[in-house]
Amino acid sequence: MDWNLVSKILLPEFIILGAVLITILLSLIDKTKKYTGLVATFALFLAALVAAISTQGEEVTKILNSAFISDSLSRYLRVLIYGIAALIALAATKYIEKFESPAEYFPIFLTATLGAGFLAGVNDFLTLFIGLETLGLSAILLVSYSRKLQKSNESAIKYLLTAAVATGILLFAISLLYGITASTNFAQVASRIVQLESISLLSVPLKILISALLVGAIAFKLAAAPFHNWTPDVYYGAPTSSTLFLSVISKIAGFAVAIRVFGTVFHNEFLLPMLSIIAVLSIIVGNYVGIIQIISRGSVKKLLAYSSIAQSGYLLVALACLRLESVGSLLLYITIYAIMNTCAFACVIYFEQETGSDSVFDFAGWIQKKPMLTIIFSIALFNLAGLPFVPAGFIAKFFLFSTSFSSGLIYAPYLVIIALIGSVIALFYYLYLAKLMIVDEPSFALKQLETVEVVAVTEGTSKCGYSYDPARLTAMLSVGVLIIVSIFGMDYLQGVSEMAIYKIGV
Amino acid sequence: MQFLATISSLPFYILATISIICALGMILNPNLVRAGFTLIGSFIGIAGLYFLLNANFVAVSQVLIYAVGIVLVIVFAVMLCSLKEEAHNIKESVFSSKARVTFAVLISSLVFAVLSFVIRSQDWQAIAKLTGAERQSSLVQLVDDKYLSQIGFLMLNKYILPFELVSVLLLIVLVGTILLSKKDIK
Repeated sequence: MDWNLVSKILLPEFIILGAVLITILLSLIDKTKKYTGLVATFALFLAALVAAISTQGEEVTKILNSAFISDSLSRYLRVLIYGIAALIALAATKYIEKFESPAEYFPIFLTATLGAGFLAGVNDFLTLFIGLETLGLSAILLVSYSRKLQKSNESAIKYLLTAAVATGILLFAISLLYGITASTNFAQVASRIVQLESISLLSVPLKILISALLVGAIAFKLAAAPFHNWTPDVYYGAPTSSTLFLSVISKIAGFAVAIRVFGTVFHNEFLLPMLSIIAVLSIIVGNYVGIIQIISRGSVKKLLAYSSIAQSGYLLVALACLRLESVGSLLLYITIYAIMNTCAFACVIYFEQETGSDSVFDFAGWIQKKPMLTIIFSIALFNLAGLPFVPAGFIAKFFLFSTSFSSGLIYAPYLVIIALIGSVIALFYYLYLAKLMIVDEPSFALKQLETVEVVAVTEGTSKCGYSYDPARLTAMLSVGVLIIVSIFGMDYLQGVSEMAIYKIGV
Repeated sequence: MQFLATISSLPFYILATISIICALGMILNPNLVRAGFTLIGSFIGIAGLYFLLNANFVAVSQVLIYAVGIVLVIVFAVMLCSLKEEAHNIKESVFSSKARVTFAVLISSLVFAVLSFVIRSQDWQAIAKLTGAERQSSLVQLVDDKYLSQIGFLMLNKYILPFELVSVLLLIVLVGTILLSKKDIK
């Protein structure tokens, strides 16, 4: 085994692992508990940078007995995961200070990101399972972080139980696959299945069962309907930074696994209809309940949770077509989605820091308090809706739907039409929220905030120990990236995401 | 086939019956401590099945980790928790207990039916013939003296990445557990 190669390819992961240990030690030494978040942010940013500039991924390399594969797809996804995680860690830095023992948040956060990073280059069912567990168990800890709040505990236990069932389902699929192929390695499993199929030795019920179990287990991670029931409660109850992590990093990792497993390892004629059904259900359920949420003036976090179910649906449409072009545009869309969602949630985090509330009603008239952030939040919402105001979201959605439409799958046009109808419905609740913030009079919570601020100023105390609020900085950074990408880099990004899928290795 | 011969023998049925009866006893027993101890019986029955299938290491791990370790932890946790105060806060489900039991029986028998149908539909012996050579080479020899050392070798060689990832996972789960269970400092 070539350890030089291993350390070269896994350097970003080693950086994060080092940061896990450093943050654990730092939480003992650092009394102000302020620097662990910054260390985590820096380490994740460094990892993304190292993964981006290294030459690995230009050819397919398997390391550690083919447990991990380094190809263009794993490189692209790792850069994306670590980069977005750096932004999320930055947004969480101040937000989690209100919980007791805030410093331990970041070791857990970094481990969850590490699990997601390994899933990007997974090439063995055992690595897949352990990676999913690393991501899942750490995510449960992140969800239950504000343990004084009952809703956080409730959501953590709900997530734990549903995640355990999903893990069981995945393990059953893996054990059946092992039973027919006598291997856990992706390449061997794939070639063995092709061999068995060629002499038609696999029974139809077995193929259906394995596909169903795999799709179910992965759809749970993607929060796609009908495996979405945990999503609203968990997203609502968790600390907002953890919600952001679940809705972005978990989802990217889920799609990384889905692309690899369904694209290269396990593929049959029953898989695509299943994925299509899940895509359609996600679009319908996510948008329908999102509308109800905004009409009943519920929570913004729940609204974004339902919208993320619908977004999973759009992405699954491209996955269900399973052509190189459509999966390439899936990668492009998930990149833009991750940036937009980070931006939107960073604004929610900032709002929550200020007012302690996340209900839709309290957002009314925010523009009169924070015009800059309201505009940023609105841009993120417009992009999630697919409006060409800062064209990135529109272009990504356009590519997603057009490549799916022309993919050659018989029912692809119908899927795209449903997705289009869904995004028109989604326009309503995104724009309603934007209208509420920009046009309406300030809410009671915001008016109250004013008096609190006046008192704070007169007493001469500074509420915030940072020179600039981290959540606000995250929102500005991510919207900056979005604007720069949509003006200069859309062609480049599209090229990169297409190249990432063309050089995928088995 | 050796496997099929094993699972249709009398010891298999005895052990399977023991573990099923104990599992049922665990679910139906209202006393949590007794239910926890019944669980040991179920785990030991399953460990016996592993012995029957020549998976000695798995069987010993099953006894050591599940039957002894985990059950003890569960029983201690039950005894240390004061459930009486909390029990009043638990909301009644919208369904009646009869409906819940019916639903549970329906779901589990459906799962059992589907799984047994699917597994019976596949011709496993043909696959075993095809992959037999690989199974011999890739898996540990069951009656070999070096059985344990082979497992250790595989863990630290072929499966080094998952193995190391598990150690990171355990570290962070330890941190998280302490965090969740520690008393508030005031």
